[in-house]
Amino acid sequence: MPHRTPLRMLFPPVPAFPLRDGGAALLVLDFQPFMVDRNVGLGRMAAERGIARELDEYYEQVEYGLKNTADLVQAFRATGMPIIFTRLAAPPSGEVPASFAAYGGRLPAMGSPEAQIVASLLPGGDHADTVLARHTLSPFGSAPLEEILDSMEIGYLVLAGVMTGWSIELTAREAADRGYGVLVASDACPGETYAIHDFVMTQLVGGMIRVRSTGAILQMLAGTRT
Amino acid sequence: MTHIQTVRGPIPPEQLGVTQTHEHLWCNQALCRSGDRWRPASPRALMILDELDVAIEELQEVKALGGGAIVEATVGGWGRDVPKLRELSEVTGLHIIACGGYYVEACHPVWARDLDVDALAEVLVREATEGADGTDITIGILKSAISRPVIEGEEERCARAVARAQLRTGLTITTHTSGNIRFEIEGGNIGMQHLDLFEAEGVDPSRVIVGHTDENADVRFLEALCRRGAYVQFDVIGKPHWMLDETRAELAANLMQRGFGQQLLLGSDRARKTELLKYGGFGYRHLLLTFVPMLHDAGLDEAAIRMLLVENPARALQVRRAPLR
Repeated sequence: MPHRTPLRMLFPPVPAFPLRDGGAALLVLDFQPFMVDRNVGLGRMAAERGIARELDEYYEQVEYGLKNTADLVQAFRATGMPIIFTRLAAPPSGEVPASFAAYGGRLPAMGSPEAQIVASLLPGGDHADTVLARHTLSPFGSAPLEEILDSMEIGYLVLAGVMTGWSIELTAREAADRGYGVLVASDACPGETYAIHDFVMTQLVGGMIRVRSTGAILQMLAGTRT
Repeated sequence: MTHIQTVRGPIPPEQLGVTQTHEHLWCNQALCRSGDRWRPASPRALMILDELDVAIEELQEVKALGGGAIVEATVGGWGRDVPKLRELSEVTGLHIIACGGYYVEACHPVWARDLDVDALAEVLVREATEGADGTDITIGILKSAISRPVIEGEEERCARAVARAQLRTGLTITTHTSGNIRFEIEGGNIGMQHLDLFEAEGVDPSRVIVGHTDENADVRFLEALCRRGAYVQFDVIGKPHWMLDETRAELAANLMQRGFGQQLLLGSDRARKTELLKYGGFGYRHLLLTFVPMLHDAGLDEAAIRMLLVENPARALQVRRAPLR
């Protein structure tokens, strides 16, 4: 039985997001080996503790999330709409904020392979995409995201990446707080478990935040649905 | 002479009895298109009901509690089987009203994508006049479902087809608004937009039952729907993740006090095995066994409860073209 979420009944209706009218960008959080390759980063930490199986649900969602995000990236590139990637990397001081306890309390070094965007989303070559390194759970905290969005006159964000219960939720809410319309691509945002993923996606809707499947967002970009 | 169309033929409205106006007895959501972009839902999470003996057993409990009729809200495209419904009716003695129409886009029959509004309507008219699912068993109600926060695309064509079929058949329309999308719509339900579309097509709102109004409710919105002439339906009774049954009972009492008790209908929308008694759920009996006492606690007397369970369904489900109020 799903959780009760009675506060949602008080929410005012969410305005429609005009993705095709300009002013929208795809924001992709942290699809980097540290987060998505179970041989390094989180996966290696879990294996070292002997609990690798505990992350099976997460890595299964990562597979779906990467494929769906790749489709969104392709659609945004095809329409010339901006894409912004973020990647987690330790700050120069090496001091990782305590909020990263969920990620084993560590972040990969800035120049390490674990800290780079996976090649399936950002292959080598000339892309106009923006890549921001950060060391806080919210990309607004340690990267010039807002300045970049303002310079691009972005008012709406389509959000994909890892991880649903952590950076995705925080970024969606902070972006909405800052006045952006946020469209979360539910099946492009892996969560710690399916249950957490489903609950967060249920609870996120409201205010300036909407949740849609990748298929629905692709239809919106194609102009076949509102 | 008006009548209500059941799977065993037409009956006078006064024979209908205590009626649950939105249930599923036989359905298979696995027939719908999935997005194929995420882990497939487990069969237990899907709306699949395919055990005749279980349905018989649980419907007999409804009958024993005084139940007289069930509106079966499954349409073509996700497993409607009218011979099964007739068999269930014959075995249990309950009247069953079968449904025609179009559920959400993912569950539309493949051919629905290519038909225009009038052709989509013609399919429903034939189901109402000649029979459904290759039989001579006719439908007794129409359904229109919307899965988006606006009515557009294929779902709009289907909604218009349902409206045009209503005008030709005189059947009542029952509606659906999907899941979390309700929280993006003013009032929590697509009912107002549905009524706008139906009225534009010439349908009298008094022939429309706005469904799922107890998943995201606002009594002011319910009153506004009633003021337009439509019925409102509390049809997920026993699903506390949307709303507590105690709240539903208080809302029912509130609507009564506002003078709209004659436009409220009740059901429990059982559609998953996990919602049946055999699998640990509340079963079809929950409405009569558990919710009716809550209505008493909320202040409704026997006459008021009879209005909700007997008189309103007998009026709402009549097959007729002219407005009833």
